[in-house]
Amino acid sequence: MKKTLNVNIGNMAFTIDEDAYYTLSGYYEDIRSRLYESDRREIMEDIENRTADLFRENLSFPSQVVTLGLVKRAIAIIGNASDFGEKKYDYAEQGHAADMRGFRVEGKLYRSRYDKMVGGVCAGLAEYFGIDTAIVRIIMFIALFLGSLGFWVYIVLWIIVPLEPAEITDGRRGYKSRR
Amino acid sequence: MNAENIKAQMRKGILEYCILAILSRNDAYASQIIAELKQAEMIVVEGTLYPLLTRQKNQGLLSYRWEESTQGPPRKYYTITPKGRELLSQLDSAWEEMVQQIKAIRWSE
Repeated sequence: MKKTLNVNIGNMAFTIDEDAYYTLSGYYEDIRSRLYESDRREIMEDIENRTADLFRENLSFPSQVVTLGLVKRAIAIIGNASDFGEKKYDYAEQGHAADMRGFRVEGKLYRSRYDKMVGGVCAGLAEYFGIDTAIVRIIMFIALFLGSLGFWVYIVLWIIVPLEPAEITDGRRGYKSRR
Repeated sequence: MNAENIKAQMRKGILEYCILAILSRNDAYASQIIAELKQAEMIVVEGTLYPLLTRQKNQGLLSYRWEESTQGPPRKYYTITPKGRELLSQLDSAWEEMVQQIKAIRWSE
């Protein structure tokens, strides 16, 4: 059993698997960051419309779920985000980090599976608050010198915060590696 | 060998010319333009076409209207403008010229 989401792509309603949703959102966000602001909204709309058409052509009935495989097939047809040129901005700097947080499951705090130095706590916190991991690490580093509180907070978080689910990270990791 | 790379650059350079050429025959949905360019092996992935279409529209070379597709919501139906046709004929002669120039350089003596 898998969790699904209902989404509107190109003015059409789709039921989409959670992992497929994260992959698609990350893909759109990556393309968006490579477009000039003046045309960004319009081009993204075109791409969403095209995605919707590709999904519709490949679903045998309307209530069929859009899977990760189908999303990947659509991406293969539309092309890698890197085909859209260089990054025009970094979403972390443009307040898009807030959007990124929306991609998380109900904004839950997780320890990062891949971006970790010790237990992935700093990266998890950074993800949750939508800030750069390096900033959280520096704060944590300073806290370690101010007393033992920082150390214990880290240990406690390490124990109680769950590791992020694997399949979500897969999509997000693919998205990160294209940065 | 970077022949593939050079070929990709060449195709990229004439892509806008091709879009105008396709639309000069018939109005079309983006998906039809894509299908034709794919068949002619002018493009491999289609996403990059959308920025081009938007740019050409902003330059007044094409325009579009929303047209009901056979199934699903309306989609952009592109048409070439008089300004687009004018540019197309300029590009036609530029292309002819270029072919002649290459011939002259490549096959002279």
